Amino acid sequence: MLVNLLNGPDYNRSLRRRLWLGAALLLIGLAGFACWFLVVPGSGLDDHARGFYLGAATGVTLGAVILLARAAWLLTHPAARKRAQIEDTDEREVHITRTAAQFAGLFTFVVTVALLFWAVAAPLPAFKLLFGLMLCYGLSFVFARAYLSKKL
Amino acid sequence: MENRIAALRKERRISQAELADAVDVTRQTIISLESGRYNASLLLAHRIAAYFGLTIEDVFLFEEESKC
Repeated sequence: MLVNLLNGPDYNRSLRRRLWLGAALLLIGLAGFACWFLVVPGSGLDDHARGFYLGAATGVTLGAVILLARAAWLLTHPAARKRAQIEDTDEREVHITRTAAQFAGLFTFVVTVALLFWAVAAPLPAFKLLFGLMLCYGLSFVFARAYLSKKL
Repeated sequence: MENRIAALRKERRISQAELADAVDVTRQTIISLESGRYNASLLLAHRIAAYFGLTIEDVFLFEEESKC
């Protein structure tokens, strides 16, 4: 559904949606920076946690800027837009991406199941985290399947 | 599923890039189709057949798998 929103048959509309998504991500990234400057210094967090928040804010902001710049450039350059549309909507590329995502999901599930056997002997938060991940995967699969069964 | 894309393209002296542009896919997709590594969707098969002015059956050769 998200893929269709950002890569629909009307490519101009998809690009305009990407602009909105880029703007939203930029806000999130900037909010992350604001938190890092205003909240994190007095929070008593470990160095690795501080580094994570700064890294995440930087990553989200950079990603948003790249997304915004690319979408804005493509909206004003028809020849580049045609090339990008073909690359973004090419059915073989879409098939490859979906198959890779399917494999990654299944692989992550199998690894999580294997790790659960280790996590029963590990601290409880680690077990809860892994169990929560598996639950999230299972529930999202069931809901997505139910949605697609009705839709298709 | 086999296809006659390469033969039809050579017969009409069309490059892979030209065909790819005409049917809105990448050249790599045409290469994969011609080598049989990838099967086209019905929509793409229709676009390719229409580009050559033929029917889908004229371009794509369906072979039903043997039933055990």
